Amino acid sequence: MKKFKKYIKAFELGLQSSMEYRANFALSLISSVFPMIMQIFLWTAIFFNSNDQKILGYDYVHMISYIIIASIINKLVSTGFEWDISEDIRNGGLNKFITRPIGYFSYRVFSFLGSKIMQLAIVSAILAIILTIINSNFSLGINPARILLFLLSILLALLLNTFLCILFSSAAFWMTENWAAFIFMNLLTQFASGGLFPIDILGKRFMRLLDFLPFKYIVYFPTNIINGKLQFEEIFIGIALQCAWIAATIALGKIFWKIGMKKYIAVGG
Amino acid sequence: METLKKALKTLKRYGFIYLIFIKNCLVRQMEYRANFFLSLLLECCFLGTKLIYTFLISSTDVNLNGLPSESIFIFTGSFLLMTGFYMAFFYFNFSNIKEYITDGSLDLFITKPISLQFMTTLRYVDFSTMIPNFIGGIIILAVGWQKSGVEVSFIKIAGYIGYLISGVIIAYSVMLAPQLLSFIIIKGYALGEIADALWDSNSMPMTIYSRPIKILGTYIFPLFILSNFSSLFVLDKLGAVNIIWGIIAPILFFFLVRLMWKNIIKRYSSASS
Repeated sequence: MKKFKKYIKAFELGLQSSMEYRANFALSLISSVFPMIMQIFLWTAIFFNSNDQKILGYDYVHMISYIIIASIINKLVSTGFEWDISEDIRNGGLNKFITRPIGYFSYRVFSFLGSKIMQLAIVSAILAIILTIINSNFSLGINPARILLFLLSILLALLLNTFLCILFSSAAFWMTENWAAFIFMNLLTQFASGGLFPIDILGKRFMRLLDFLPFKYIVYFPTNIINGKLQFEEIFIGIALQCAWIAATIALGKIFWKIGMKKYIAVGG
Repeated sequence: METLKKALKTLKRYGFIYLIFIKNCLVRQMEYRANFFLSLLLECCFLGTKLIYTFLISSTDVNLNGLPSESIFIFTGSFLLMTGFYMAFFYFNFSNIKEYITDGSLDLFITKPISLQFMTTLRYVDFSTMIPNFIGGIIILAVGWQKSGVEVSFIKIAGYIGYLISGVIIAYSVMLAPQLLSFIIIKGYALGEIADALWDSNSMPMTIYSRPIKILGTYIFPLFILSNFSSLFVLDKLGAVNIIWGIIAPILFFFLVRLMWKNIIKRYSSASS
């Protein structure tokens, strides 16, 4: 328990830091509403002017509910601490962790989760209200079992995104100009996770390609659990695959981190 | 006559300084060529995702509240061109403002014998983000122009370029305003996120939005002038009121942002020293 105490402190520090910039958080929340509004108006215009009930495999209710839920989940599971890790590697901030009895990997995860907890609470409350409204107006077939599996998948999606973030951050050991790699990975994650639009509208061939990557389990999969698009069997398989991808990213992250640490020359210390 | 001469002389001086800014930026970017090409490659990726979405929307073959589906290419082309302008000439300058305030660079700029607003908001020019958006924008615009059957006439091209210039002035004025909040909210990245989100809301035809949003985005916070007006003009869908508003708005909002800047600078007190 004593060994664990330092990570609780890291969690608390992350929480304190997030509470310091409350205005920033509120503005960041507002900024995520604009793309969602644009998408809702766009797809409403498309469905309103079309004679077909279904477009690209989606009816109006499922398309709009996907856009709303996916936008919120996208915010919920977002990370972004790869820049801090990269700074630590490049400027020698990692030095102090080498000499101290604390694991850098775990410190970062706990500090991030601490900074995320307030955001998680507020965004989850917003999501709960929105889901209640959507379900009462369009009856998506949300039931307690689906809600539980949805919550579990969100938690796993957050962990998966966190470990992917750590995995990508290790690029800083080899690349001095790693900003491009980070922006590219963010773009790829945004696009392939289904955070911008439902990725299955791009066709079966594209979906088959995504089956071999972890990204669709970050936004697309949790959204379709609550959206009612997935059957229970598909949900259980998806959750198992989420766990498998988390294990794989942790293992890969540790391997890359270990190799990277051998290369680390503690510049700036 | 004397005033006009003086104004022309000042304009010439600032034009010369701006050319030096451009030259310096080009030299700097060519010095770090790997960075330049990485940035170019990244912008191509962003462009790719935008194009995938455009093709997806046009594949539905549905008209967007009075606009044929193929006209989406004209809107995307115009949006990309405007993004090229914005990213090249304004984006990095605007997002650097908060850095200038926190690290004290702004204090140094104040002492220079040149307009502080000019120095702060136009100092950097980025070529790597401009090139892909310009090339992609022109190609997509040409495809949309041809697919929509728009005649190639002097009036259409001149009007299009005119509203594009009007969009550039609006981009400067409207996108600078939220960044000026950096003077009040010192820390944070969310202002940039809001500015980016607002910019992207212009990527689709304004006809998709409800009446209140259209009014808000055209007359109060005129984002739709950025790339929608030029596209609507060539499609003969702009309307008489907006044809005139598209000419007045850039002048009006430029002066408004100038006033805002002057006011904020008057209250500015150095944070770093």
